[in-house]
Amino acid sequence: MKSWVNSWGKIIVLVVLVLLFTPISVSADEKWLGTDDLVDKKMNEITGVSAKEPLIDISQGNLGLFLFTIGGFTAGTMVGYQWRVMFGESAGKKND
Amino acid sequence: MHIQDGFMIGKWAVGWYGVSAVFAAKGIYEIKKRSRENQMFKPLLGLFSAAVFFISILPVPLPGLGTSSHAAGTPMAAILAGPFAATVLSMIALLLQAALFAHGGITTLGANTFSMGVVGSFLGYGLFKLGRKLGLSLGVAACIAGIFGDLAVYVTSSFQLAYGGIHKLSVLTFLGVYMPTQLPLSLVEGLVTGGMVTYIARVRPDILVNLGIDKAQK
Repeated sequence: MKSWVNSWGKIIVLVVLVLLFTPISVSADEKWLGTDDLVDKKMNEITGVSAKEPLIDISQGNLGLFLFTIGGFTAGTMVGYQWRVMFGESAGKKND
Repeated sequence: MHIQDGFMIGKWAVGWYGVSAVFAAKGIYEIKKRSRENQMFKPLLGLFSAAVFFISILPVPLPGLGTSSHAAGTPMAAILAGPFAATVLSMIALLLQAALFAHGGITTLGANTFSMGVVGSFLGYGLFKLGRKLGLSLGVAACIAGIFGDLAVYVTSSFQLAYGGIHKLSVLTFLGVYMPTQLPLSLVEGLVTGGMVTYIARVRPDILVNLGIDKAQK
């Protein structure tokens, strides 16, 4: 059973790698458009309903950049702090 | 998988809220209980709450396709913090993403929580447990959980949009949009999930033992 799973695992990795480097058209007119955006676009084309604006409009000036930077900084700090608590040198000593 | 406001029929949106709320309520109860019992649980939860938020909004560009998409992060969180707790982390991340970045909607929060939180977490967790029972190593079992957990999130979203959407497009239409990008990205999610579990097993095996993920070495 284990060898069966392992051989299938190799096939899955191979298929995924082929897909990764094979240009497949997913009707992305714009470069690097997200799949969520592609769905929004398709829904808009067919139903005429477009994605709603965010509760807080972050498209004005540098507000989006500000929020993304703050969000990235906060997430990074949280991950970094907790990472140190759990995997840092002191964590090993504390649990000895 | 971030379904936007207005794309789902009202009764379906409410229904998904109801289903997700049950899992989230159990998740909150479990978080409280496990935080009291295990000192390590809170820092782990802090780490994964930030990680799930970050991973599930980070658009990864795929060179061969010219598109981008994001992973879920919930299979990894579910393996380490438990599937119910991972559902809560997912709901919080999706709420912030909807409110601040218009990434997903408020009315569709229940549907999005179900696909990313419930399905991603429970399928990932289940596959990890199954893999371990079959004798696979921690890393390989977590990798498989990451790959299929990720894909399951997008398959669920496709079904949600096809059957509860405002327009009856087929499941295949949505799968056709999601899968070409998500298939290669699921490998990345698998490698990150497997890598994280392997890293913890090497650096702090006691964490996995404490959380009941791995057995103590004799």
